[in-house]
Amino acid sequence: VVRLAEDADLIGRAQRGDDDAYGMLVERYQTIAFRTAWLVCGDAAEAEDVAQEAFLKAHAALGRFRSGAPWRPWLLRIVANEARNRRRSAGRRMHLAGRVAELAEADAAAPGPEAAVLAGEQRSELVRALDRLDAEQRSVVVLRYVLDLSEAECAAVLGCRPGTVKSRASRGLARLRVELEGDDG
Amino acid sequence: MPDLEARLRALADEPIWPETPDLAGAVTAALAERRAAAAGAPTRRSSRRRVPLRRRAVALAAVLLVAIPTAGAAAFPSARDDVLEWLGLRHTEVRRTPTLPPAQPPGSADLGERTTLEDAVRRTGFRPLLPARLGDPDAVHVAGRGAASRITLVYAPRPGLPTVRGVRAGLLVTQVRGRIDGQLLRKIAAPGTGVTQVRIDGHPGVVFTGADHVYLYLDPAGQFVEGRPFLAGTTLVLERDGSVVRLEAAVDPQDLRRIAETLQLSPRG
Repeated sequence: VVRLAEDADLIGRAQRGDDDAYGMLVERYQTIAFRTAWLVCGDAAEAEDVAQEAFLKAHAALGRFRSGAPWRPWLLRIVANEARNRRRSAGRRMHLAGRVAELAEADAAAPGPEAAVLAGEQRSELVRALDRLDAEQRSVVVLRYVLDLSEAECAAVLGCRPGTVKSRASRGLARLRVELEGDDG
Repeated sequence: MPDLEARLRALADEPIWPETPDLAGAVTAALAERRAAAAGAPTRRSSRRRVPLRRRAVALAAVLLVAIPTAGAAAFPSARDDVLEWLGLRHTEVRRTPTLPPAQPPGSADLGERTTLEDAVRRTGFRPLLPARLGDPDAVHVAGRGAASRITLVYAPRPGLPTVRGVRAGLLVTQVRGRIDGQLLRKIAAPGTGVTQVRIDGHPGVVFTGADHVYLYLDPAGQFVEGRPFLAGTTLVLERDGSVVRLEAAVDPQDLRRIAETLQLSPRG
């Protein structure tokens, strides 16, 4: 509630031409916007362009923003549309697995305490299991549980209905459990 | 497996994500630029074709850096002059060329004279920062004289540090006396170039990926000097302990950051 009120204050100021207030709003949401764009685009440089352009488009459309409505789903819808429009190839996919592989290599080069190694292995195990999900399930699980988006926000990003998000997330989690149990056993 | 959702949520805090760029700075700079243009104030780019935001000037508060990739210079022949004009640098000691040649693998002549760490410290008057996790460098080179002297540390390829584009090196760490903070400047990046503002243990820096580029820093006399990486891999430039340090390697930016985070003053010299 506090965050909503603070957002509403910043949006109101931005609507009256206060760019610093808009900058503060961007700062609050730049990580979630950038990560969402990256998940859709699969490229960090492209995601940066996408997120910047989305924030500028959101600013241009501030006059149409409904007072008191939550800002994040509205913003993420713009980010997702921009990202989908720019996605260079359909073959691109989330790069979490690639990032984890790179981290594993770095960890191997500089072995740390046992606890850190164990945490790294658990992280790798989880991401490998995520990577084995089909693309639709993986997308919804990452958006819903890793980025902690609401079902409505996931629906906006993925361009589907909230009910679809719910069922895909449920199936994705179940599948993930099976994958992890397979890894254990 | 009741903690599965918690484990998934914990991934948000893991270092598996690309560094979030300074979008707030970039967006407010773009808004200011648009307002200035709408008000009729002259802007350097008002007469140029529009390019995506990231490729246009983006404010980098507190980081005194200008990056002008080769591709950008080719696309806009006067782009570098524009930047120098914005910065009021036209009459400073910045050396300019009409175009930038592509990065060339360095030879010993580029790196300077090969020597020992102790001799490099004696000749330059400063102790270089060494990436602690890598140990002593495999080679040390010194170039230039006096305040403009430069130390380059060469680390051989090893696991996690692949060979860089035909060069028998996995990592180059080049250091000069100077600073990169103190003013608000702008950057230009070209298609294919990633430019990300970072802080390494509280010290300002920038990571460049994907294309050749140059950057400016202030030498101890307060003059702007052009810095140029030897390699066309990932480059991290940061200011620390009165030095401008440049790390170059064919690794992911996050990995280069992790190496930079272990920089420590050489105990010798």
